[in-house]
Amino acid sequence: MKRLSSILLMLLALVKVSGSQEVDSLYLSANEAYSEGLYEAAIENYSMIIQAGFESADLYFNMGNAAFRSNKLGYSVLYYKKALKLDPQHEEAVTNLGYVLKYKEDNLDQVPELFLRKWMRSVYHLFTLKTWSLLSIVFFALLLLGVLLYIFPRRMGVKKTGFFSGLMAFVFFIISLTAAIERTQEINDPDEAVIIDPSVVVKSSPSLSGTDLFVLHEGTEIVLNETISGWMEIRISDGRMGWIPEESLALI
Amino acid sequence: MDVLKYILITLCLIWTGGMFAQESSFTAKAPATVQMGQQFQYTIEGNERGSIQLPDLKNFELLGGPFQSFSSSTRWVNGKMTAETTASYTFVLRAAATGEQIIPAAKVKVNKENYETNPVKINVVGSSSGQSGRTNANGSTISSRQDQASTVEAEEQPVFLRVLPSRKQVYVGEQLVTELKVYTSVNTRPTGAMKEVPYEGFYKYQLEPDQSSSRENIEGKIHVTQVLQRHVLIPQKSGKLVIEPFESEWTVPQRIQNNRSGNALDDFFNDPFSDPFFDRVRQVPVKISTRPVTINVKSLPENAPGSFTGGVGDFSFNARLSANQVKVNESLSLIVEISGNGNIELIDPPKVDFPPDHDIYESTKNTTINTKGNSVSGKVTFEFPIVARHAGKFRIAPIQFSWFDPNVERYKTATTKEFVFSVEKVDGTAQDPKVYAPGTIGEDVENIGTDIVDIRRNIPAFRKIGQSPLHRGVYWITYLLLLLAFIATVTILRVYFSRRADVKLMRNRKASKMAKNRLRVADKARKSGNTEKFYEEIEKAIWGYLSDKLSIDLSALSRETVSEVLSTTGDHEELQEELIRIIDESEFSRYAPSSQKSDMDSLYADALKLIHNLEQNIRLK
Repeated sequence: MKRLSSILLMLLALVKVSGSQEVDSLYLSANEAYSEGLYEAAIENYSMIIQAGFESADLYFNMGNAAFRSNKLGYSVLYYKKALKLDPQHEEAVTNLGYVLKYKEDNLDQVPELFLRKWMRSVYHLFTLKTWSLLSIVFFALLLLGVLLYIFPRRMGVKKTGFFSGLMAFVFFIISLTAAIERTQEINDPDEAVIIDPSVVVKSSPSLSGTDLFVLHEGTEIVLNETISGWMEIRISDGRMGWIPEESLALI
Repeated sequence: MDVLKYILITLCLIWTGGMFAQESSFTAKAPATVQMGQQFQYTIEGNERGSIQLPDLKNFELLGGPFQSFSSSTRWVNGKMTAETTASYTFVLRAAATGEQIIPAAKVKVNKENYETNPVKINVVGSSSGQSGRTNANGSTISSRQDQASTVEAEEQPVFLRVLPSRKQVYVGEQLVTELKVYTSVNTRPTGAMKEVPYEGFYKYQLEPDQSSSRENIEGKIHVTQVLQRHVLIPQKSGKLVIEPFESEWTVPQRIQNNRSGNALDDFFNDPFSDPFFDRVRQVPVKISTRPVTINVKSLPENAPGSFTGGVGDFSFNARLSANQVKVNESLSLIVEISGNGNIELIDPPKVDFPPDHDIYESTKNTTINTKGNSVSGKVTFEFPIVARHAGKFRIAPIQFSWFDPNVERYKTATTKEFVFSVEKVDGTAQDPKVYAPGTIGEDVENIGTDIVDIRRNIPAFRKIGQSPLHRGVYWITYLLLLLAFIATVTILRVYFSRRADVKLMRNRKASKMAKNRLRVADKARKSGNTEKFYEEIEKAIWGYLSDKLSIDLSALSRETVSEVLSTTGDHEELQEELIRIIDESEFSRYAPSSQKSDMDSLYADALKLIHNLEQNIRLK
């Protein structure tokens, strides 16, 4: 496993997108502002990194902290979720999200997800996208090796080993490739969002004249269905649906 | 003897009176304010008897007088005798016009000498509603339910009480002063001891009232007033607080005009304290009560700082530690002092952030209150005992104390400095954990507070937003490369293996030829008589053949491996036996003495036949 991870790291170095010097210094100055209690300034600096086109789980985690410190509950939930989307195993983000959610106003029931769907999601969330894509390559290589072992040696034992390890590698290759594709989709086309406005009225139709259905508060997570001219159809965790203005939520 | 003394003193008085006649003086007195139509006394006092000539009293009516009175006294001080005579002449007047009136100087003639008094200024006010003054004085209520009051007709509106607050708009906790004041136009006194006014909804402190009485004009009527009680009040809640009517009983002199019962004795016994023979006045108890007074209590502004603990007023604040250095298990205390002017007794202790892991006991409160003057001031001391449990240096964060200053109508905050104290270890013997925590050795680590985890400070590996490794060419090129490497490997291995197979095939094909060549060499050796060489070549031919034919290395060949390999290729037991017989025979004959050597010709033929048979029967894949 150690060796595997070191190989992964070497591959990582190849794939790694290195941020420019400027991005690094922005990050450090934002951290400094945070330490001095200038949370708004810290958020501003962190946001400049994002505007420059870079992101990372740690960056979003720090932004979540700064948002929470400056009493922006909605944004802090949003940023922790973003951090967790990039790195589902980010322990600090999990801890802080749990802490911050205690301040949330809406308590919603959870409609239980399909078992398969839930299970698959938890598998996909085992590793980051980068890890999954590297794993898919590694398993592909193992698959080919298995095929070689199956084809050439005369001896039956070696042949069998080659066959089964190749089969395993194939299964894992499919899983990791699917996970990578799935995670790519999840990250690049988010369908989840967080309420940013302190409170927002959910309407029955995408217009101000629609009937008021219920009220959601800052920090509540929702799932998006479709968008029509500035209005978004949302679904909350207990299954209720409705329309809210685009600007009162932020995509994870 | 007494009589003689009296005569002597009198003589002296007369004599001295004559002596100091030149220094006689007379002063006139009258109330500063009188009511029109009401009688008042105008008195001239002097130290000599004389005849009074009143000035022209324009706007006054002379009703009676002069009523004269004299008194004299003699004193001996340090062997000197002083004698004083006072004479007073009282006239009863009645004002006939309102406004500022002056009674000009009156003339007094003493032993043909003329003296003049001072003029007297009198402010005459209009009468209230009726000349007779029967109506109730404003502000007072005479309880009509009272039996005696209903039977007795009041000659004057006699007496009333009032509660006078210093302010009617205050904040919760702000001080105000109230006076319970009696207004009377007759000679009156309370029956029994006065109770204290129960100011409900207020925290009250009694102040010492000013005993002196004064005259006041209440809507045209002159009243003698006196403050009976003074209190500092501190409202406890906001809203309109009403000081409910306070009732007390007073005796009022009542002139009896008609003896209604017609029985002088009854009257006498009904009112034994009045003198029925003198002015026919009796003292009647009257219940009077104050009017309700409403105080509008404003609640404190909303923006109270967190360190506000209820103090309203003007305070100063400081705190200190009783010791800066203690040993483990010793105690020290933090003393917080708040002093000043305000609701001292209602202040809660300020919040102090003590270092965790020490025993902090409930604070004790000590108040001293000073009610001099018109307000309540004082000092409150909170003492927080601390028992140090662990050695080290500890700090108590600066303590904040906030209060509301009603004068500037905003909150004020004072902050102390940070306190530091150090706790020293004690020597092993004394450091027994049981001293402070019986039965427990070791403690659980308790959460003092919870908070979010701090930010990550190391620069992370940033990724480009919107990108995925799957979108990068490198990813797919890696697959391609892997696939190419696979194909290349397969091809290379194929070629290698086919080449190896070719070599085997060649050797296989040439195996019998090589063997026959060797046999031919053996045949030559037989013919030249070199028997040893013959047997050697026979062996070589057979082993070499097997090696080539079965693709087994020469060094790995033995009887066992050969028989093993041969048995996998089919049932060739006869061939095996023959093979082993020939090898055994040639090996034996090679080293055996010549007499025992087998027949070389037949062995040669057998070997040739064996190779032929093997060639025929072995088909290796």
